[in-house]
Amino acid sequence: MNPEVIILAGLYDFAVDLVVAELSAIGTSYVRLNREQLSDYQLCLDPISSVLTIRSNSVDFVVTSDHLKAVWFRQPVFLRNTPSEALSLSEQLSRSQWSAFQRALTVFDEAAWMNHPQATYLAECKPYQLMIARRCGFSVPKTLAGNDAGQFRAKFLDAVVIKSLDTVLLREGDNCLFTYTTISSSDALTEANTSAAPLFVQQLLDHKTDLRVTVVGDRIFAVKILVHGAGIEGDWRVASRDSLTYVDVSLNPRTEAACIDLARQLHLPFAAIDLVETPNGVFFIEVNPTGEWGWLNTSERRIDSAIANWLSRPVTHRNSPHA
Amino acid sequence: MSEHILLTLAKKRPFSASPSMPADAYFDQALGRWLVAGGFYVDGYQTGPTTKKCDQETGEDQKGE
Repeated sequence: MNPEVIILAGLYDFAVDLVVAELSAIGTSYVRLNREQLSDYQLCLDPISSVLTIRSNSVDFVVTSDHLKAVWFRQPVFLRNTPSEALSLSEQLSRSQWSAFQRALTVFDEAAWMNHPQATYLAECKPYQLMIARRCGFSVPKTLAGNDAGQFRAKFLDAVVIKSLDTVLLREGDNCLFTYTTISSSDALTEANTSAAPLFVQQLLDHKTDLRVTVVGDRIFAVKILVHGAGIEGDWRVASRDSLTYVDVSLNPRTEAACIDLARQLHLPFAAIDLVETPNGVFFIEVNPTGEWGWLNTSERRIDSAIANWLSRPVTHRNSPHA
Repeated sequence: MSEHILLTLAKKRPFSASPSMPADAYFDQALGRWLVAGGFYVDGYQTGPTTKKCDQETGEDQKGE
């Protein structure tokens, strides 16, 4: 079989199951490869002819440029190597080389990519996101990145938002550590507790309500995230599940246009954008190039269907990520 | 030197390499989907409030590799 769509995913990326169901329903052929299972297949790529064969006991695919419409790339673009314990030689080799093999599928450069790893790599950089968001017309919070506590305290006199520059997901024995966005006094930032690693310090936006905007091509799914029916100070992810509601909202035309423009400038057909609504207007917080969306999918909010339809677009729409 | 403020603020929880799932769940390579005895493991739409990644926050963008 010659699949029309390649999905590069993770084994426990359950939202992918929803898109796979939609692809089946609309008759688009696909192959899903999970990074944890790549060695279960016999894979062979001819990069010159752009032909990939995928074989196992249960599948037999030949991927060719002629038939391939799209690649859905849901993979990390760089390894963070925080396993807490030493990886065996075999594990180190497997991680680095399979990661490179997945990137090698960029030889299918006539297919539409959601998202291209090159675009994801750059868009993962939070300072770069802020700069582009400002260009797109968003208001953005005052921000400093670095390890200079003196400058942090000088710029921000009162409460500040403290965030990591990149996701902090660390292992310590049988535990893992994760950092959320935290509100703190700028006085708490000292040379002693900041110099070892850079961080993000931002203006605190009071009385905020979080907005999540999921962009799929030209489609927009916007929700307001409420805790007990109201906005929440700080990181909503620390709230209990039962207290959360996601309410569909219509963005004002300027914000909607800025979201589409941001995704376009970052070359991201898919983007999960975090905004906050405040008494002083809507502010851009960050964009997640491979963000999660399964938690928002409902019968009225069919993000799965929008992704499947984008991946199944006619060949004539290739290389036009927002068509 | 004191601990970095990001470490001080980090939330700690037991590490789990995989989410809690039904014992009979298995991944069908040909379908590209998870199955359980009664059919698909993930089917239809989410109902009610949920949070990202089965409450295992690992950051977005597939960072929990």
